Amino acid sequence: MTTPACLEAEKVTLRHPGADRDSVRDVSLAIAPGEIVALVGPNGSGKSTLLSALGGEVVPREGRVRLEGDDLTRIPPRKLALRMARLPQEPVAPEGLSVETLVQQGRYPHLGAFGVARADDDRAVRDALRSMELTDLRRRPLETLSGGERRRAWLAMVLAQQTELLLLDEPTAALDLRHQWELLEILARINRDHGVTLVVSLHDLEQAASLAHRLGIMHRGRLYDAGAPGSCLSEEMLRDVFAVDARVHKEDGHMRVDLRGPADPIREM
Amino acid sequence: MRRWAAAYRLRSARAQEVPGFQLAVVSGLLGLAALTASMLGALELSPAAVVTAIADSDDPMHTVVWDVRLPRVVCGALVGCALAVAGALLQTVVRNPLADPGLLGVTAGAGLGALFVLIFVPQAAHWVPFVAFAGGAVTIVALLLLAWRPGRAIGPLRIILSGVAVQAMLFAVLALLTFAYADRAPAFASFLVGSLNGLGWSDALTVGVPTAVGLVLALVYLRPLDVMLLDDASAAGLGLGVRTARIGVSGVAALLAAGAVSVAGLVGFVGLVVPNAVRVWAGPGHGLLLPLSAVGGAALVLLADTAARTALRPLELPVGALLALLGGPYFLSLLWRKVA
Repeated sequence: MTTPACLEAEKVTLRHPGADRDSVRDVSLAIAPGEIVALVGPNGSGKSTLLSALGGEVVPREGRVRLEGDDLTRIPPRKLALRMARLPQEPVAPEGLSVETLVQQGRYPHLGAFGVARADDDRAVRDALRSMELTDLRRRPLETLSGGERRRAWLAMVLAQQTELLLLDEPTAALDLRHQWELLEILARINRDHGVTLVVSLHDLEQAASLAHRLGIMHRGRLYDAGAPGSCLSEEMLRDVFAVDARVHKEDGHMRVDLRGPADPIREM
Repeated sequence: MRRWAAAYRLRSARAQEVPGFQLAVVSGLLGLAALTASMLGALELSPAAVVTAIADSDDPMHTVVWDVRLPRVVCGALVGCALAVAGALLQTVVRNPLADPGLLGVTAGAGLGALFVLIFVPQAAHWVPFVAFAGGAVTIVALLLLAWRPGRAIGPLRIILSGVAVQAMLFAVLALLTFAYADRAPAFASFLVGSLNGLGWSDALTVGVPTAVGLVLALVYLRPLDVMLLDDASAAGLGLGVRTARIGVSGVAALLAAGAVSVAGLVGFVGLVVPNAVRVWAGPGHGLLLPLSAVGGAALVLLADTAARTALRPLELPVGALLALLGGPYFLSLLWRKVA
């Protein structure tokens, strides 16, 4: 990698409170400005945990995470929120909260001493609403929206934060196929138009391959491989990591994974 | 049911566009409540007579209105305002609309503090609000600690149940104290239910100062409060120190509750009923919720107190009893809507 990393995990080891083993072990991963990195891996492989460490949500037991060279634990939360936005997998808002009010929360780290919104705060909210095509829905309470619209509303909130770095935990989860596809288009657009660096955890390998510049493949708490989708999305990897027998081929420039069945049970151990 | 819900949402969405209107309506209600409270009593006065009695110190009714009715009106309004805002704050802290300073034991903690001073150091009565604040704050901190599990968010259900347990213990101590020191505690029956009987201008000051400070602090927390409406991970992602903010807001709620308890005793349910009722109009955002709760709480306590002292004249019922009669079923209806 020639460009300097904007976010970098250095030999990160993590353990959930109360657990007796590490959920992420000795992972090093550097994310370059402007790239999209998708973290993939089976359930419990540690991709969400790694993502929460990259976001500063959990402090590593060993190793450290650096944001443009600064140790993440040394950055005050509000300063951090100006440089990096993150969206949990299942964000929760109270009943009756309007789309616009939700998106306004994205400006919280930017507000001055008395919490007064200024013109650029209003502009950021308007822009975020427009870019997520929610302007007409802005007065609607969140719970009256469809799943896809709701996901866009949360995305608009973190967009209003106007950070250069965006961390998303399984943004396509619980969406139907069409909304998943729309969401991936939106993420690609955010990256292309605004140069926002994206770190996204995803379940679907084909989606991850088509969206991301690089994949980070997690397997049992370790980084199995990281690199361009074309090189690391291999039949061997699918057997080792996902325990499936599959054929990988390229079609119209997209990686395709044809599932044949579970891999040899001995390999599964 | 669904159609009703949709209509309700449409109405609340439309209402959100004219915030001044709602505040004007509730303020008008408060004005009416204050006027009615000043007019009614052993002697009924016309609105004009009330004005004359206040303005003219030689008026035969001046003492009744100025020294008896008016301080009670002011105290009632301040108590209602403080408890309603405290309720709104606590509901956001535990992210559950069923929270209330009474139900969480915060008023009981404050009441215990107040009772302690009144029984053991009666000569230091001016310390009552301070010790009450300490009692309320200790209760809420104990509650947050009890419900706390390292590395995990404080679950709303957990904190409500902890509140019920804490409140039960505090009530036991309160009951023991009032029983053991019955000789020094003649008015404690009405203290436990909550009453505005016999309050004067000095009491208005006692509740007014913590209420004013609490309202200013609540305004300082206005933006963090909105962020706290979201789940902990999202709030932290926006740069809010969720734990610190929770403790700070809880402290403000304890201060507000302590002021109210110091003069009126354990008035319950205002903090539950008012924020939930105005939320239908205001939505969950605090910019409108807090002012509407403040004014609405004042109006509710004034109306309830006026009803309580005039319904069975010359008998003056404690306002807390009437509010509990009203609040209990409201709590059940909320429970029904939220859980079932």
